[in-house]
Amino acid sequence: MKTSAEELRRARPRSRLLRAVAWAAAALVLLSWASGDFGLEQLSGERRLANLERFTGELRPWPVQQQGGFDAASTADWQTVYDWAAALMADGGSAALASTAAIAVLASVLAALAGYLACWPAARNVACPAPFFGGPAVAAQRPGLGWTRWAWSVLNHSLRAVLLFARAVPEYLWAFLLVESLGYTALPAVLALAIHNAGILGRLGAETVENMPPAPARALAAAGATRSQTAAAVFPGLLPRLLLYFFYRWETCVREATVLGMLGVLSLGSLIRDARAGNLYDELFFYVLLGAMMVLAGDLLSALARGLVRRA
Amino acid sequence: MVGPSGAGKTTLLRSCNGTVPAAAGGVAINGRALSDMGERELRRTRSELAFIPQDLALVPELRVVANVLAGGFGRGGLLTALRALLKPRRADAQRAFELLQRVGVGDQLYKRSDKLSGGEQQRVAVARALFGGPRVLLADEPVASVDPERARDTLALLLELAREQGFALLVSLHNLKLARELFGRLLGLRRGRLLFDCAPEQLGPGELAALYALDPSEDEQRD
Amino acid sequence: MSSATDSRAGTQRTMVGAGKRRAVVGAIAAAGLASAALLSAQGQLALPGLESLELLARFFSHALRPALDYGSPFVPVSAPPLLLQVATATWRTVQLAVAAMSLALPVALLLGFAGASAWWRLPGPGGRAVLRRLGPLVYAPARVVMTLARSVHELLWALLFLAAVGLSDTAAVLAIAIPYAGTLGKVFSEMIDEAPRDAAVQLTGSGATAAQAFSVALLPRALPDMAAYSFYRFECALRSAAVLGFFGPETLGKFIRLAWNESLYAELWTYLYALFTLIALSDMASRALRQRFLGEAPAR
Repeated sequence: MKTSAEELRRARPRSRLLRAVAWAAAALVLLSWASGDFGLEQLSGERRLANLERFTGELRPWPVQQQGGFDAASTADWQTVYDWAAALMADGGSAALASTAAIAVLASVLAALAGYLACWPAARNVACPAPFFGGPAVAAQRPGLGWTRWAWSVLNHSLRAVLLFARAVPEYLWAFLLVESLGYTALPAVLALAIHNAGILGRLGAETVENMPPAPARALAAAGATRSQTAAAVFPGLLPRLLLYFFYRWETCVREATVLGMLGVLSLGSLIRDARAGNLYDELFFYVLLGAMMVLAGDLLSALARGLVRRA
Repeated sequence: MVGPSGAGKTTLLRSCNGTVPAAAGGVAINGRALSDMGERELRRTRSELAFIPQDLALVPELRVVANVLAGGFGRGGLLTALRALLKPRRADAQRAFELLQRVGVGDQLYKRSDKLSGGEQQRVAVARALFGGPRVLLADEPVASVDPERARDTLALLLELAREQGFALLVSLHNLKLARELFGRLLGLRRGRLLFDCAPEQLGPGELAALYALDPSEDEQRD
Repeated sequence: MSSATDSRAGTQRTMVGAGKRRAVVGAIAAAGLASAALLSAQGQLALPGLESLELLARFFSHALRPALDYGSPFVPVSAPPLLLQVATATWRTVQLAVAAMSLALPVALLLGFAGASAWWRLPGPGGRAVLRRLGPLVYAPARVVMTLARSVHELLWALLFLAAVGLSDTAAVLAIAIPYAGTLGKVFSEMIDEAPRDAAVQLTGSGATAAQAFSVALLPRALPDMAAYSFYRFECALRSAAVLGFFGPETLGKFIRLAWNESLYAELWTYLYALFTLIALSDMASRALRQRFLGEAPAR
């Protein structure tokens, strides 16, 4: 029995793990900044500043630059800018916008198909000899299941490793490898996004399956339903959550689809890359803004859809 | 304060400290209406009116000591709050410890609040209420979720503390038997109206029947 | 009687809900098909020829034989051993990600608090009138800044920096830090606003100011989720830092591209496995922490 607050304070429970992580994080930050070459002088310097000035000057639409100034009150000036933008949109802009959207949608649908199929055998409470009964811990207590247990465990672990690898390699890197080998079409871009996001959705789906309330699945399994029958029966209950994950991933697919074009696939990114290669900074800026608006639209749509799913 | 569920007990308690505005009538403390008070006066008044809600409303992620010290925020500023959170003053911690010991959970001072059992958390909520040095303690169903034996102990403790520290105690209760046994004054509430206000000895079977009578018109309304 | 009606109403509600969900799933499937139709009409989904599949097969056939030393005879004598090179590139990736996150986090915390509505909408005495007037003035600009910062992808930020001042290491850090600050800040403010308010309301009822209730009863409730999300973003920062190597900084991405261009598939797999190990380690660390202290896996 402790008799003073001070004694209790000294004996207070503290987590070693938490402190270790905090110290490690602090050390990593210090080490990174100390050993890295992150000086501010890399952003300044005479030549760089001159370049920056030219760059910001050339961000304005080309007709405006030629004209020498822009009068916000003049309708003629606005008309010039509008014509310039409309010409850019007609000259590949809208086609790129459409294919960017299509790549994002198709990729996220494929990712959901693959991820939400893979999540079942990747869930520890399904990939075991006594499915839906609390996972390997319970299965281990049941005698006479030696080699099936081993087989399920191998399947489960290798699938988890594949999913981890799929999501550990960034979309852009997948796209680079696939574009270089499959050619400069949308196919490798779609596949790249689908592979990475299938890895993420598979993991999230497996966690959802592992955390679901066990009673309904147990009742079905106890009544003799097979693994896939039980899975099909409990799937509608998991659907809202899986849909939320899908829409979050769809948002990032839209973001990524805009930049994958920089590898040469037709999307906003390819226009951005070409504009940069030709030092056409006004066009570069226009397409970057267009991409930002597309990302915003995607986020908005996703937020609406998530609201619909939550309320349903 | 007794009455069936939906009688308005919680609403009445909450309007006592002004977190729920009174729909009709008003709440006056020492002759001053709550609705007339400015922010500063309302805050000072509230700091003398401790309230224990039914769900306790502890911050589960914080250590017990921070939750107890939160009862005294009415007298300090943001700095007081941050200190309680990060590194409580020694004197404050000692006082929290003594209060916790008084309610029987002294050893839990530096545990995380959500690691405590339901009964222990309730005692922490009592200590938080006491830490502000209240003149009135409002408790909403303090024994709704504990077993009858524990319920008697908790209520007895609250009464003892009220006598010892000299604050008024207003408790809402479901359990009429306990209320009659332990308290000196009973208020009967039903559907937002006061049915009786008397000592338990004066309570007749007529009043009790009126309090808990099944009201056919009410059921029809619900359908 | 009444309970029967209730349950009937409940069933009806879930049936309506299931109908809506089915509609959402149907819309997703239709959008997927339409996208596939559009892309194939543009000739964008043409299946590749056999030779490109052979190239992929050659690439994947090296998966189980990553290089431990240089395979090419054209390596200059001065080049460091391959494994040292891999280690250096990995460290540069970590360095860039850590530096970017350590810049993004404090900014995101500030923006996230400013962009939450809880701190000025909480009930309770203590300068409430001032807060209510000040709130929208701080809240709206914070939201706009976060939205602008995060709606431009980090690679596009990198490209803008590249065009403006060149993609030095500092610029690379900023290119990651800017959109990450926006994303983290947006999610932080959502988490603060979604945190349960019961304890905060209770505190203001016993005389605490809104500021006290916010800092003691609201922030601590959002913090575990915020920490879990920050770990997840760190993992993303590692990937972004690796990819930025394509544009100049000497992170893993740079060497992966070089190895591919020279068809050195075995070396490429060494770099890929380094990246994989990095991500797997951070994934395991954040899972260990999450299981002990924090909430569920972040989905955003």
